[in-house]
Amino acid sequence: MKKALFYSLIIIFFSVIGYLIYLDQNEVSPKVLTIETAYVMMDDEPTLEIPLYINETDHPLKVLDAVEHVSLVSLDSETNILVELINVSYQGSEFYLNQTFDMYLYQLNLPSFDQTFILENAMMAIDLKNGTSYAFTIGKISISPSKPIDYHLNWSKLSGTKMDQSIYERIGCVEIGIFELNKDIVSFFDGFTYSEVFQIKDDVLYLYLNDEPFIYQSFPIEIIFSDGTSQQIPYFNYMNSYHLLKMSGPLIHVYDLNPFI
Amino acid sequence: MKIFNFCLLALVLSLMIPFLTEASSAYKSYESLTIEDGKLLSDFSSEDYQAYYEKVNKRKFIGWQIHEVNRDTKVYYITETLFSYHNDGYTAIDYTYKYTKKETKKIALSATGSIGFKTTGDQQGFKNNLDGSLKLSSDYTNTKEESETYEIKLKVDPGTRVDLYIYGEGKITNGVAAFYWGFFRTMRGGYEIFLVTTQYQRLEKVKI
Repeated sequence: MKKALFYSLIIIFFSVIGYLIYLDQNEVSPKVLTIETAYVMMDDEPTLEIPLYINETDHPLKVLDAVEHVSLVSLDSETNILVELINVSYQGSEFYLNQTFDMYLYQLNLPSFDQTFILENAMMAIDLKNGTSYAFTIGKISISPSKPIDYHLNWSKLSGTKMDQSIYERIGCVEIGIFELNKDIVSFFDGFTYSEVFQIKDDVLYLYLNDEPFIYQSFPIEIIFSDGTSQQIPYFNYMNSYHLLKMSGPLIHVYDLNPFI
Repeated sequence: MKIFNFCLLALVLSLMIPFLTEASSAYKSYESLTIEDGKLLSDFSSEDYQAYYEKVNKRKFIGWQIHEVNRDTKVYYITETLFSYHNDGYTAIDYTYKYTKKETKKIALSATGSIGFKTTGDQQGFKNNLDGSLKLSSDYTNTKEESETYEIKLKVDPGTRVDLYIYGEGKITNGVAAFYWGFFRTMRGGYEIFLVTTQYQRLEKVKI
């Protein structure tokens, strides 16, 4: 009788241990990842797309109808812009640190601005209809009044390359083929800074961009001419990285949505 | 009688193995695909196969024998022209192009011989868990479909054509493998996995 009890207790003990190990392996803490990104818009295209990487299968952050308000906020909370959320859409998935993160794109409609508006240390604040609120660091945002797309520079080609020495997935050089150039170029504006680091060689204008700790893959560029006028090279998606999380470690912010699990 | 039975069994098993067949993958239709060092599976010669097959001829009770030729070798590719638009009128046109591509896959598989594919949900892989035996990095685990949207606003002069190209970089892993079951070889062929890592876009205006 004692033997039977002893063996039963042993079996129960190991079953409990096994069950606890099983629970430990299957408990995935819900997380959101964001990547520090430089967002540049001209106000004729005021739709801003911000990705959130979410590891939980069903979470209200993935559902448009579950969101009450979205606003763009500075880190010091001095700036707070309420924006219209147009859509929340699934864009793909990436495996990162042994978990699969689904990328959801928050498509926001922004107001127009009379002059260049820059929001450094930008956060996206989301209020859900269930009363939960989140604020995620997203990088920095620049919105400028639009400029003519056809002026002194008649361009023939548009492409960009990543600088070899850059550790970040960002464009380092924009190449613009020239059909015709009627005024000298003095500088260009990348949305945040004016730069004179460019050269023209074999009818190609090379604009060299600063290597900053931000993802920078899709943007418009403003070219400034010697007569003080400027022209806009349209918003263009120069590159897509299919392993953005893997390559952006230092730029990633991790938010544990339920830190008490 | 035993010898006859053995010969019959060997004949049946050999008939089960199909002759050289090739499963096509989207990346093979790219305008160009250049490997930095080494050969693509489609460029393996019969001499290459002969040499590589010798490395997977050692019979085992059950499982894959694998000879890897390239692992994570860098490749450069140019895909199809994403769009082409021309203005054969007399005035310039303000043109906005918007396109959503919903079925981009960053991984593509290819095989020759009798190595086959299986599809589980939205994941595609090789039959008999060859993927697992290859011990690929986590980069290769995601085959979910992704969507991408392209929107471009530009002015197109008269007598000008606008083309948008996609080009980029990726990684190739390939080799040959043979599957043994009860010391009999039931599958043998070449395998290749193509992984897109970075994609660039290039817009060109051409006078026509």
